[in-house]
Parts: sequence; structure tokens; C-alpha cells
Amino acid sequence: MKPFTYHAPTTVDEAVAMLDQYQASVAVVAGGTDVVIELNERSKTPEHVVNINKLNELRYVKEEDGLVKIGALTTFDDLENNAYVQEKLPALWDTAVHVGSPQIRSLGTIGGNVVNASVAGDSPTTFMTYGASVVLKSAQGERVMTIEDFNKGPGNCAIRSDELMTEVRFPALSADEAVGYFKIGKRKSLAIVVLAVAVYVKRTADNKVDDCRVILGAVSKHPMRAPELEALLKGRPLTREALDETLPEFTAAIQAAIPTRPSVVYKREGVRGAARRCFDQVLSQLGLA
Amino acid sequence: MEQITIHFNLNGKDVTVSADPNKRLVDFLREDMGMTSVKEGCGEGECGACTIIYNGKAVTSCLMLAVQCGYCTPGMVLSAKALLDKKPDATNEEIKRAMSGNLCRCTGYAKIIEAVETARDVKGGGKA
Repeated sequence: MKPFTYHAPTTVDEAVAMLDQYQASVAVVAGGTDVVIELNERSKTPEHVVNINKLNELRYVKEEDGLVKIGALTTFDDLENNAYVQEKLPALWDTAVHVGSPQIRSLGTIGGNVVNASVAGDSPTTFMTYGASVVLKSAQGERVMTIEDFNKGPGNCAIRSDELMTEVRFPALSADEAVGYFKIGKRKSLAIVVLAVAVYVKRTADNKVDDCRVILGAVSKHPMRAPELEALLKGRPLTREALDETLPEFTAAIQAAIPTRPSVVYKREGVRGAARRCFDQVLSQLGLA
Repeated sequence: MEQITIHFNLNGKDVTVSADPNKRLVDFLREDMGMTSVKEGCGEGECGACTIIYNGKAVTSCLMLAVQCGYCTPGMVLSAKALLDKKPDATNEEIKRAMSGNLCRCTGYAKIIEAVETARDVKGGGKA
């Protein structure tokens, strides 16, 4: 590791002031599961390191003003053990429990996962499916942008070096909304996402798809919305048969997205199973299974 | 790093030595035992230059750690402790999950999982 000046702020205001001062050459460490590797391998050589893991004010899950708000420093282990997440956000819970390993989940934060913007990141896919936005704070003030706009990938997002990501937020789900998520990895633990599918559905009074979002993870440079699949699902009755009819189009979407990538061979097959499991979860959450 | 004492038979002679657990077998044989006839080629197990006979089988010594057992143990023990401190009556499934972030290159994990189950039964699980 190249030597740097270490800072450990204890409040968000203090952290933001530091980023403002050192923005020319600074790295923010939250859980450290990505950045410490980059520092160790010298792929990042900042003059200043701001370790924000003492900012306990950024560790929360709450519902407020119709929004679910999750502090950036909330770890995957926090999500796994949070009663609200377990009960109301099963797709996020499912995402959290499949990140890395127990040790990595104890350290890794949702803020770090989103800002790191890996093509194979676990949580950005899910957050995008919930229609989430990120809150960015700096000495200039606060701005909120959707994860869709924020994530430029790979390893690139719209955060400025004087900004601190403080929160992920998205509309709380009503009884007529559900999200399913399924990750394919090469093994059960310590597995990077090779393909993730996440589906959001809002139903009509007569149990048809009113609105939906379909997001494919680890396919494009960043979690990718599939508008053609969303169009196909809208208006469809929420039954296993009607939903399953769309599965061949998931294969077509993967084929179109990555026609020349070697992994297309298994991703275009695996996507149907992953999508079917998302449908299972959606139907079950809506009480239609 | 703390050294670990190992016993083995080297070309017909029983030996007992201290070895660094973070050393590959090829380096241990060359540097610690002076066996420079063991050559490192690719260092990835592809070329066969570092082949030795280990318990009757030809193996590439660049892929083996000199200390074959115990490297993963401290990490395994701590994952098990973190679990049993929080859940003294953890189920077998919870044990498997808690240990899923620790890799072992020697065993098939069964003995390790059984050891944690034993620790639970002896220490927690109703018995004070």
C-alpha cells in the first residue's frame, strides 16, 4: 500500500467537510471489501483515505413518508437480520444473504456496493428493481438521483469526489406490489453474480400486471432494464401459465444483449429458470401462488 | 507468521521441522530442505517441472502448501466461535452456512462441520 493520510470522521458533516478539503486525491472506505483490495494492490493510490465506518448515523432501515430509507453504511448482515427487510422486502433479503460470505456480509455495505458499480454487483440490480434513488451529500448540498442514472458502470458512477453517498431510498411497497429476485452464481457461497434477474410487479384490481420492471444483472455494463420484456408482461394475467409464456423472450433478450460473449451460451438458458423463480416469488407475495 | 511443526518422510528419512504455513511445498523443499532438484516452472500446475511423489502419487508441488493441514483452521475456529457465541444451539444447517466463507483445500469439509457440531453439543445445546 502506498502511504496516505488517514481520517476517521465521526459525523457525516465532518466527513463531508473532509471530502470537500481533500477531493483532489481521496478514497472513501466504508466496509473496505473493495477499496482495501484496491489500496493493497495499488490500483488506487490516494493521498487521503477517509474511513467512514464510524458514521453510525448512516446505519439504518426505516420507513418514512412512504419511502423505505436505508443508510449507506448498512451492511448486508444488517439487512439479513432486519425484521422489516425480512417481512416487507424479501427480494432485498434474498439479495443480501447471497452476497459473498458471512465475513464479507459483516463488512460490506450497501453504499459501497452501489458506489463500486461492479458489473456483477449484487445489490444495484435489486435496488433498481425497487425503483430506488441514491442520496449524495456534499458541502454544496444534497442531490438525489435514480440508481438508473447514477450507475454508469463498470466501476463508474455519477458520484463526485467531494460527495458522500448517505442513503438509498425507494417507495414503500403496497399490498399490490411485489419484487422477485434470483441470482445465479457458480457455487453457493463466495460466488460472484454470473446472472441475476429481478422483477417488480404492480397488479390491477383484477390481478393483471399493471406496471412492472425487469432488470437483468451481470449482463450489461450495469444492471440493465429490459423494456421489451416489461412491455410483454404488462396487461398479462398474474397466473403461472401466462407469465411462463414470456420465458422464451428472456432468452431472446440475453441473446440480443450479449450475442458474442462466451457466457451467452449458458446465460440465455439460465435466464428462464431465474425469471421463473422471480415469477414464483411475485405470485407468492401477492397471495396468488 | 507463526511456524508450524510438521513430521514427514523425505526420500526415506523421517524429519521433523518448523515450516511457514504460507509457503508452497515447492519453496519449502527448495529453500528449507535444500532440495533444489525440485524445479519451479510455470507455478500454476501446468508444466510438471516441480513434480514430486507425495504419498505414492505424482503431484505438482507448486500447488501444495508445505503445511498441508491447519492453514484454514484459525479462520474456521473463529467463524465457528462467532456463530456459537450468538447461537449456542445452532442447527446443522446454520453451522454449514456460518462456515461457508472459509475455504479448506485439504478436506471435504465433513470433519470440520462435525467438529463444530461436537463443540455445540459439548458446550451449548442445553448443557451449561
